Amino acid sequence: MIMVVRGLFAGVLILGLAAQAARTAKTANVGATNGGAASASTGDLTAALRRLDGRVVATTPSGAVTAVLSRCSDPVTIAQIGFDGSGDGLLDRAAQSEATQRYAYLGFVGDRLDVTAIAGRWVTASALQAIGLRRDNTPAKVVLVLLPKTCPEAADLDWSILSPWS
Amino acid sequence: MIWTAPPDRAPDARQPLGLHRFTLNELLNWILLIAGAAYWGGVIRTYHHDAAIGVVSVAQSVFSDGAFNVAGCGLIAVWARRIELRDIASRWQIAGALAISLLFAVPTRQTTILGLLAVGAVLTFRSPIHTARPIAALLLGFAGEMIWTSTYLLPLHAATASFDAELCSGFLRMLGEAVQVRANVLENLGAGINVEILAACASSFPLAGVAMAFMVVMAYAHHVPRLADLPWLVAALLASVALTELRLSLMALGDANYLWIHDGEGGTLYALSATALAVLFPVLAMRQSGSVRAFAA
Repeated sequence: MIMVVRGLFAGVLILGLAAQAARTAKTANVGATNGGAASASTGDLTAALRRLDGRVVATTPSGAVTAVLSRCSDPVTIAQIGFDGSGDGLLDRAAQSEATQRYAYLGFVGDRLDVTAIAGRWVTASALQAIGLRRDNTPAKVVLVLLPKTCPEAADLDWSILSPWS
Repeated sequence: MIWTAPPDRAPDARQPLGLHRFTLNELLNWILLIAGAAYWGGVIRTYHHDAAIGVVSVAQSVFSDGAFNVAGCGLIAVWARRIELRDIASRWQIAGALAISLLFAVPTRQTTILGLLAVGAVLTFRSPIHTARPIAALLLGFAGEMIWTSTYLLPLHAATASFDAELCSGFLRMLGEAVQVRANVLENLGAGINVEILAACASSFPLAGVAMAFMVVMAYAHHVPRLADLPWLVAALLASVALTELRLSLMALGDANYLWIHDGEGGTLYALSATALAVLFPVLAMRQSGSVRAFAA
């Protein structure tokens, strides 16, 4: 019996090491395929904008994107606000500007940074990913869209495309 | 029926089904081995490996976790060998340990934190294992550090970063620099440099590591932390905050300064200063309470 118990502990140890190795290999493969998270993210944004009849015209050193929409002559600004504070400076500028704001995160779209809604989606997505029911990595960035006042109809577009649930 | 009462009250239950040689010592060693594998496996997994994972990059990932964490694990290993728990492990204790081990087998940060908290709590409160309390303190320290630096608390550190930016701007204005702050961005208008302080660079981020270092140094000296040590711990935390503010302020003085401190030798100097401060305060605390002799011995 004692050998069975020792075998169980050794089994759990090996299982844990194998699970760690498998997850490490998976992470490395994802990194190699995507060529890094930053470029994949910009690619996703460009593709999503195309679905809204828009295109990227410039990218600032801070990572914010200037884009134009077919139905709006003035450019829109799209930035990513990280949970780690990246892009907070832009958030500060946005609060002082007259531009219409849209925040998108995992299918949620709001006209203000709704921390409760965003945290709820982050927790749900993280939990589903941890138990293997969600394949995509949970983003740690909220997409902020600054729309010019001259194009009120642009505010009605489905900006959740920029940060979809899946 | 073999036994029904909890093990502490049923001596017969301690020798079920030929398990009379499975001691609490062995149980502790198994759970610590599995916890260690989960913790360091997670460290290696989450480290940004530049190329294929090899011996060098594994070593880099381990040391990137901090010298005090490596030392803490070493201390746990040494203590686990010295502790003598010759009581026979009961069926319940084995089952509980297996359940916690299964938590460690799931390769996520959250389950490792839960596992460390569970083992730490059991070692702290359950008789007779509480003789392993120093190990429990370090395990809880590891869990606390993981929580403090986790994604859950990034918004807290990001908020601190804005406070840091304000503090640094005050310091730079005293030096005659023309600076302004926009949220967590410190803009030096004269030097033409904007420093964005992210969560991991905020002064609050390394505090759990500083507290862990304080604990590890005391543990190494066989000093049991007491209330009188608290002011020294607070001093260590404040010194860490001051060092971070100094680092951030120097970075905002110009591009050359930024590169020197962020990517050059200045970074090494900062790391050495932080390590020296982390050792200094617990030594001062022990010196005051007279237990520094044990450290020297």
